[in-house]
Amino acid sequence: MKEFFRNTWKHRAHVVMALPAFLVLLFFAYIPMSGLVMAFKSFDYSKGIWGSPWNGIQNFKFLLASKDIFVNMTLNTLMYYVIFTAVGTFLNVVLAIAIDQFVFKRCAKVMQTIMIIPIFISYAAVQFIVYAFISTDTGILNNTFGMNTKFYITASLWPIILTIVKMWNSVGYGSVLYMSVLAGVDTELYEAAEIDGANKWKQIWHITLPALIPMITVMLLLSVGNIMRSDTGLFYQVTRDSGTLYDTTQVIDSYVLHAIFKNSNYGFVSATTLFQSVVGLLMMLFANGLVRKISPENSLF
Amino acid sequence: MSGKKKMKNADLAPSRRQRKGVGQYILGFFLLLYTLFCALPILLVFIAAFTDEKAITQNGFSYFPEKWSLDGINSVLRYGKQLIVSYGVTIFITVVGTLVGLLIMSMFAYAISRPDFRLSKFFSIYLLIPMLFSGGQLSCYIIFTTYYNLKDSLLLLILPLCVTTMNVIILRTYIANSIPAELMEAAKIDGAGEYRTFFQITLPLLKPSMAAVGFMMATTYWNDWQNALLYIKSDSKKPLQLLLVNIQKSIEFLLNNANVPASARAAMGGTIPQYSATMATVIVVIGPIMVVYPFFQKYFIKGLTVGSVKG
Amino acid sequence: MKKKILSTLLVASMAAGLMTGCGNAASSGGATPKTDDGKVVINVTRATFNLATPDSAQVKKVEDAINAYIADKINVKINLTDIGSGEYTDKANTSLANKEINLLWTASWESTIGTNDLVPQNAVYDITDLLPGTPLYESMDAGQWEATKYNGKNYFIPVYKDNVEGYDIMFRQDLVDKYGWDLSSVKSLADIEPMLADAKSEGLKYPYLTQKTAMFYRYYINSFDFFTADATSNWVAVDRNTNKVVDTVLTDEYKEFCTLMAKWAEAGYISEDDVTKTTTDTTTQTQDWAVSWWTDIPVNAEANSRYNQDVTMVPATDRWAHSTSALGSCYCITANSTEEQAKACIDFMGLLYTDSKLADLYTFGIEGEDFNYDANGKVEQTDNGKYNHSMWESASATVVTPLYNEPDNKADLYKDFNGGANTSCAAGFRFDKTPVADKYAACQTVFEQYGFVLENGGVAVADVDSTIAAYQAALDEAGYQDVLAEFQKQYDAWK
Repeated sequence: MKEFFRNTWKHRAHVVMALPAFLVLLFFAYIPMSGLVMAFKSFDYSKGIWGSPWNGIQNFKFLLASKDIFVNMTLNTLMYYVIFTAVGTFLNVVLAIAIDQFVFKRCAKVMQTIMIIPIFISYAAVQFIVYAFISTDTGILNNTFGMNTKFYITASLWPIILTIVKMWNSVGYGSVLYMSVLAGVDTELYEAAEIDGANKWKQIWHITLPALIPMITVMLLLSVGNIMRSDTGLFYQVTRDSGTLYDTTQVIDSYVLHAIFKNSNYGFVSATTLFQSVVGLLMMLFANGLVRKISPENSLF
Repeated sequence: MSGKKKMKNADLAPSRRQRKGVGQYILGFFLLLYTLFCALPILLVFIAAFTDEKAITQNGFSYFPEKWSLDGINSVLRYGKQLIVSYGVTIFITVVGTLVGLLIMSMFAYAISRPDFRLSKFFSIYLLIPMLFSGGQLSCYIIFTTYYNLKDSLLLLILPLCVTTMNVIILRTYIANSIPAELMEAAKIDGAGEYRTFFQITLPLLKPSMAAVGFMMATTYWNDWQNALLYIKSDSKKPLQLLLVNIQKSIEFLLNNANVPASARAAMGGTIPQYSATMATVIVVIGPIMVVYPFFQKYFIKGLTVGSVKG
Repeated sequence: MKKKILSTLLVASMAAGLMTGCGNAASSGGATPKTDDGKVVINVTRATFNLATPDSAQVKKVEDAINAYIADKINVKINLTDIGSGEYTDKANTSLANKEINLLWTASWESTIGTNDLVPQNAVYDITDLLPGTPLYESMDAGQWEATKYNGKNYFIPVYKDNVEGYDIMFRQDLVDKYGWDLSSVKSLADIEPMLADAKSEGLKYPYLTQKTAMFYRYYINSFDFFTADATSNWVAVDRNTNKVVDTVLTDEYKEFCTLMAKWAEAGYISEDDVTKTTTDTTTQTQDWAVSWWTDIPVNAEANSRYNQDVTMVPATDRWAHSTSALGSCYCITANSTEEQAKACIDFMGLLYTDSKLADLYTFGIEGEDFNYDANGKVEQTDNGKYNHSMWESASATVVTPLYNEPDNKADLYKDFNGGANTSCAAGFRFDKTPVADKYAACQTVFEQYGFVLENGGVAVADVDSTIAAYQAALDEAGYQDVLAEFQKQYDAWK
């Protein structure tokens, strides 16, 4: 114990440095966390959050009312998580390396500016753009290629459509982080490798990728915590909340959004969030444990 | 890799710079393809914002519209004065939030990256929990406005977003992997205190990572409207995205809701442009970004400004 | 490591404990807020639909004008908050939960603060005993007050306007003239088929436009009372013939309707845009459609200006007064108000519903800036008025001055309109879904997947039967039978 205090005193400057962020989190994240109790209460406006009566796990029943729906939306949530994370990370890294390797820097600059624009386009506009491309009679895709695919009725096409939309939206933005890592890589390394006779691919494999591994691992570990959450703009607005597509596009967050629209219930929302958080926590602990076994320096804690 | 002293040479080896082989052109081709893939929808947005609404309803969106019209852009520019105020608010919170956040997060990241600091484990866990668990909109609202007495305050747009787990971890990872420990030890041997070591040695080396994190924070602040929806009442403090979301939602409401009488539509002046107005709101948002962003690129695209990173 | 986790949890639980204590202290109410000269202060919150965002400077001006006007009449001072319609449900809901409001405007169809949600969660003040004898109570007839009661108590102050429900089939006038359609022969939905065939031959994209709406809930109100007042739960209703709560999905009427829709879809009369909800919201303003539907109102001619073309209506159903028909727009006093504040709200509303000048001020804003009285004494709103509301969400039709393009006898028109309606056998029945709320929500999702598609012609005629069966099966899996049983129990107890 004394060891501990001595160590803390030795690092008192570090404690001071950590203090502002610590306080911000305390006031703006931890103290409101007490609202999580809403998950176990049935909200009474006259009594407020902390005075409302407890109702055990009733609120969690909202998610489980229909087994079919619960299974469907959970599987969809997981499926999209896996697809988006795998494809997204892959594309982010490839794009970062591509721009890093590209010699015409001014060209790269212009292209990269265009690539980050999609993240700023709100889903309200994106849904119209998607409609512009895939609508049956006036859609650009159908007219250019002479097809007649009824996209909005075919549920099975939507994992692809949503993945493309999501990638369009986020890859330019997501690659920025990896590019910043690559910007910090010593060019001497590349030169030394060239002198040793390594070609471009060998250089990428031995220098570029290892430089990115820590960041990739960390980002993956962090994203696992959100495994049960989804981008509601994507799943609710782009799909127009169309019942014909529910089989492949209904996720937990869109189900909650739809239910809340007609049944105002703070307890329900809170219970769902708690469920998503707990699952996320378990997954993150599991993933972190895995990483700790393989390469401990990359684990989160 | 982390062992070597990092020095960016002002003159790159000529062989690398001149290596513009076939590979580069193929690479360029694929990059161009992807850029087009990103750009075509954006172009559609711009064109649609100036297309006549009737043309859109009848013929769908097109790159070559039959009829042009300023209706869409006008339904946004009607709020001209408010738009300027909102621009100011958004710019203010983006700049202040990003700077404040970068400072306190990099200090925190530095502190927890110190290897023999026992409390760092505690701080790490303390940092991770808020990423997973959140109290919910209502509890935040009640606590911030009533207990902290921060009604209608810009602080509520800045502070809750300025410390995020992901950004701190990114900074910490960068410090741990890309900044050699020897540098800091050398500084300590030279008698520098902890604060000096941080501000004079670590911070300058942290630039690429801070640029990335700063960019991500700026994007979050720029796009955020949910915080403003809950906490802001006065017009002078409404950020840009909130105003635009309101415009777009109210048009949707007026068109869809059977309860709203025809007289309400008259207030919008004739045909209510829904598609073109929504697209116009997008243009208003992304305009400044296309102008400002190139200034930040030198931190991400190596070789744009030689010798910028470290000396 | 364990110690670190423990210490973190300690911090969090300390914070929670702190908050519980503070929470209790703050929620124990307190004295009624009053101004220096003893006026009771009430917070009034309302929504702006005609503008994207209200101009707060103008709202303040109106608030001051109102306070100046009522200063010598009632002992009340109001704080007026105006919120844009896009933000209203979220903002008003959190404000309400944080006890910031005293007088709140809402409606049965508002999503998170709908009347059906506010009552079971104890958000509203019981004004049954405070009403009798007040000017507010006298300003509307007893029938209105009865129609808005919940479980025998008054919580809501309705805005008197078109308070009954009826639906029309809407035809484009130019097509009627062109083909010489005989509208008097249209007695039921199936009768319009020849007209749809004409429209199709013209090459129109939407001969029959459902406007992305499931219409069973509307077209069949002559047979059923859909007491849930919500299309997504139209799988349960009171059958008018038997006066019992029934499963509508299994009825003959449902099958007949869905088959008709499927037939029309196959014939190309209903576009798949309606099924997939991709129909543009502005389609009704174009010439792409021939027949659609319309909610009956006293002055149906309003549709002409709404849709930028002449349209004509043929009644599809009778007019009915349902449980929530009178709650299409209403005010409520919040539960956190003190008794003095509740009385002050009633005084203010009473004045609003009887004093025409105050009503105009509250609805149209500052005279000279936001509106003017024309030669006939009617209201003409200025082009760049910054405060812009309409009668339907402000004050009764009987007290607000009509607009320049509205008939003089608007109030009488409303009286006739409302008076000529049938009162439903289930009018006044308030169902409480809290015992089955989770299953209810799941069933609503099932509706989106099956019901909506069926009712918009998304299914081939040959598949209608099997899809209805699948629909019922999915509903049952979501707990529908429990929901049905619960509502039957409640209805039988209420009858």
